[in-house]
Amino acid sequence: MELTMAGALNAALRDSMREDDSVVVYGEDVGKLGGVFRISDGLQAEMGVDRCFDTPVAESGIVGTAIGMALYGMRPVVEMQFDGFSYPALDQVISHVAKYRSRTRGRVGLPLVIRIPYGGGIGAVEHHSESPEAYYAHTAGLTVVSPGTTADAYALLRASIAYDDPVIFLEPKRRYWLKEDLDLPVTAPPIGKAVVRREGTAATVIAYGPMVTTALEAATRAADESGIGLEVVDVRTLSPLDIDTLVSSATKTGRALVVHEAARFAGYGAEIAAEVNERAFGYLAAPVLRVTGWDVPYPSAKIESHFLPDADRILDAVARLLEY
Amino acid sequence: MTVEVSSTASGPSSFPGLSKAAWQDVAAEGALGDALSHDVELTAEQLRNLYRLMALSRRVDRQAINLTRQGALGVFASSQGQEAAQVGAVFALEADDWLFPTYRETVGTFARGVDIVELLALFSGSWHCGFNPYQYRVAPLTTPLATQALHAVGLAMAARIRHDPVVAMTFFGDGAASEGDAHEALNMAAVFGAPVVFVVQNNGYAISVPYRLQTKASSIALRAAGVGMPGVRVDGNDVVSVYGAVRTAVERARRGDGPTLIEAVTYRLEAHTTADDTTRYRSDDEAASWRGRDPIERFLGALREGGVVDDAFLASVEAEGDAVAARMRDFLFDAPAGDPREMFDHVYATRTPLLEAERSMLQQELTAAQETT
Amino acid sequence: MSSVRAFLMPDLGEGLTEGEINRWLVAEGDVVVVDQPIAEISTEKAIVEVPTPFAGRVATLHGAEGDSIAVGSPLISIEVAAAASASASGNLLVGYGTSEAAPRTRRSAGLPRDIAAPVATVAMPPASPLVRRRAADLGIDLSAIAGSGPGGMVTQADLERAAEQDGAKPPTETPPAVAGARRSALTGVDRVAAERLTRSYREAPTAIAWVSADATRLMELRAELPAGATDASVTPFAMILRLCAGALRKFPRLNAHFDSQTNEILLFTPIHLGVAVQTDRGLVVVVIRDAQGKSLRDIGDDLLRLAAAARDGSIDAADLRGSTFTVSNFGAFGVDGGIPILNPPEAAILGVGRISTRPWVVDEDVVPRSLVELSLVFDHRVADGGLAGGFIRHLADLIETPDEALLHD
Repeated sequence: MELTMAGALNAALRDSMREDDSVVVYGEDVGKLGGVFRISDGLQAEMGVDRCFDTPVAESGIVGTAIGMALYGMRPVVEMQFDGFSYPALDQVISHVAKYRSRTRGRVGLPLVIRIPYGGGIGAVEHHSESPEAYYAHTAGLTVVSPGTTADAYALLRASIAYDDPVIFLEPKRRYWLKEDLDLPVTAPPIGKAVVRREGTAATVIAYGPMVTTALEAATRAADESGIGLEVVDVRTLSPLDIDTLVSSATKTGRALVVHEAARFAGYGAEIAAEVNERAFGYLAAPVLRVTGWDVPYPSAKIESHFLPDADRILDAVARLLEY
Repeated sequence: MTVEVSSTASGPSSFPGLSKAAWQDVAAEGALGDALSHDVELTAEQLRNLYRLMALSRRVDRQAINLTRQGALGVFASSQGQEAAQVGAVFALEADDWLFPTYRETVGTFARGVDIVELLALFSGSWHCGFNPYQYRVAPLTTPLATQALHAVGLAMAARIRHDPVVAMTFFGDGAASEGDAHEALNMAAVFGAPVVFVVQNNGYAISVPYRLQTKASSIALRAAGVGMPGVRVDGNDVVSVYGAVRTAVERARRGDGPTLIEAVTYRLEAHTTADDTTRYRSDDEAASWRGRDPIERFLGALREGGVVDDAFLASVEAEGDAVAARMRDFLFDAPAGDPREMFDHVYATRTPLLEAERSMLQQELTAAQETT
Repeated sequence: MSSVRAFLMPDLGEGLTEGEINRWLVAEGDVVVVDQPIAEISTEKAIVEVPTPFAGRVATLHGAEGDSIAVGSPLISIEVAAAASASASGNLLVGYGTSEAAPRTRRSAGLPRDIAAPVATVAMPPASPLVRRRAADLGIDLSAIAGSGPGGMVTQADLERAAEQDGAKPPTETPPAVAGARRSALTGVDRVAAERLTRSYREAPTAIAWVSADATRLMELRAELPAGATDASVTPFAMILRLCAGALRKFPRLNAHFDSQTNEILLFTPIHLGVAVQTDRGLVVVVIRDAQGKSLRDIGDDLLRLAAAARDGSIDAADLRGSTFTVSNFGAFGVDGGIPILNPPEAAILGVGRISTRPWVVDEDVVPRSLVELSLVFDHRVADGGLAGGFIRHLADLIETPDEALLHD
């Protein structure tokens, strides 16, 4: 069956809600409308207004109430309508979601999921194309997951809902319409595991979320046009990071780069570069490179293609790696 | 020019008696009505218990300040003068109800039954929350202002979805009422008809900033009209009236009629915390004037008059107070730090590989330190 | 019995480091109760009345009014009654966890005492750790290579080119894995030896001359030696070594090194015989120094001693260096002979096979004789066939009629 990523996410929500009646889905426009991206389409009609409902425009309130619900034993799955609108809830996320289990010495865990469509490349206006993953990944106590494939969108969302710790679930919105041939339910490696999407020996390309597709595109071109075999690793869970899989690949190829849309300075790629450098130091022929967006606020739609990393930029970096 | 006795808008000066509560309701158009009297059912046993809890709370608060001055607690936020507001409110809750307090509610949480030594862990620096929330149905003492109000609303929403007759109560102050989360909490509670009781203690100050600089509204209770829920303003230093008003709100919530906002007008007798100096922003006369209207003294007078208490009872309360204070001293003075490795143990349900590695690194430091000592 | 407890100056304001005694509220000798205010302390933020946590008699006031006391230093000491001190229940922290107490302070030491400063890498050219290691493995000096990578870095390609020019085998693609293969890296001595042999094999144009010598008389002579003359060391091989030293005196050009850098032949006067000895760690060449002046017995003893030392690892480094001519004893493996590889930078190496009984022709009769195969591998830049053949013929003669040479020590 051909399924888009949006459809896979919708199915994951539905299947989770059917299996566990403590799962409730809410946020702005997720009920009646089914979500601005239709991710929660049909859920209210099937499950009722107590299980899937709309809220006032109050992001902090959405996350804050989710904490209270989780405290009571529910599994709330809440939505921040866009990445740029998740910021009002950062206080609740950082001050409480991330800290509650530690603060209560393990007595209280919060099994909630905060879904955030993120990333650019959709020609949107300001605030709708952010990549805030570094803020979440840097916050101890949060689990940060980002699927890069349609199959993973289903499997990782189901896993996140079933997880006993709070998950920030970053959905690559420009890939919502990515079609894959899938028969649901599909299983995948669990939260906390990275996966080699394509094997190669010349260099390792590490990617997550929207850049997984871009990395695979670059690898195909490298093979077809230049006979260079790139290995592509999909991070899948940004925190806790499966550093062993990344290091194993970098050790094998001796050359690695990481690619993300987010800005370069103090970005998530810096963490990967530092860890791979430290662990694979003796096996690297070249330093770990980062292919990223520029260190500017996300630009307007007409010039965003010059901001976003694409296959060309990845291949330029690969060429640099091969100079060593 | 007269010296402002209180920065709060003048509130009802009630105390109609041991079986009468008085409060002002916010009308739908948004104006405060006159104070009306309501019957309150409190047995003699309950009245004595109210006194006992207030007196013990005062004793605990005094001891905590001493312990802070002795270095046993790093800091402490006193609630002296607010005993009636906090004890009266929590007294209205049933066993299965939940409480979402701030760092100011040591009185309220102690009165709710949380062990005092566990409660003070936040201030003693031993752990951010020393008690089990599920044991007492009390959320951790929250510091970022008004944020816990949303947690209360969420829990209440969940209880309603589950059809459980559970009510959530949260406290916040006149300062916290300015936070965005306070508004979001009130609004969402009203929209979802959540069984929440918001008890706003208007104690006149947010650290040094007086009420008149915190908001232009003459009363915080008026916000209720803005979000479409019942609002009440009550003399926070009249424990019977506080109990009456909160009990009414709790029962309203429990039968499914939604949330209520209650403004309890009171006064913070001590500083914001032990690290604060009140002489810099308010006059000693003002505090002295409020001390003259001490809610505990006031209540005790009425109890004596009503023949509800005798000397034997008062002596037993004092003895109980001494015992609690001694226990506080025993457990909190010179308490050891605990195992630093525990900081890795509760971040996630299971330690991640990164945390295991870091825990080992700290272990190495500890081992090396032991070897050199 | 009572004890004196010191009440330490507390931090009165979230990170203050000291407090000033504004006013004492008690005097030494006063009796105080728990929580009784004992002093007014002035801090940056406020003046605070500090209550005593202990009851008893004031023993010491640790400062005068106006003095500053550091947080953590004693402020006041109180003599507490025994009952009072025992009443403290000890610090059973309810719900605080019961793991073993960890020390409060971290270690103060920084670097380990025996740490060595790193070798200065300033003069070395930039290269990745991977390239550096390969260069070390290949014995290539990185600073001799011009780096073509970013910022002048020496790249893998640069290294491989340099290795090829150097004559070493260029690193090839990793061979496809064969199932079941177990990798064993060449390390240390073996690696160095492998590199040197490889280089010498490539560089030196070698030729071989060989001969079969009749060692029957040699064997008879050995049997005739007086008993007690350290016979154990006087092996047939030792005898051949002695004769070889003698032969080299006649053909000194074979007792030489070839310097391929300068294209020079180094002729040596002393004859330091290298002898290949089989040890657990592989083949080791021990050196019998000044063999030209040594008797058979000396040579035999030396060889025995050196071989034993080589085998148990106690041999001196000096005894492994400086050979001018090397002998390889194939006979020790029980084979008839072999073609050894030159021990660089030596010009020649002699291979000696086993002494075996074989049919031979003596005076037109076919008789069993003790025969030994001798093979000489030589660097054709140093010697030609005539010279090599002459040497080995002469050695064979000496072996066939050894009496003169051996008994005239």
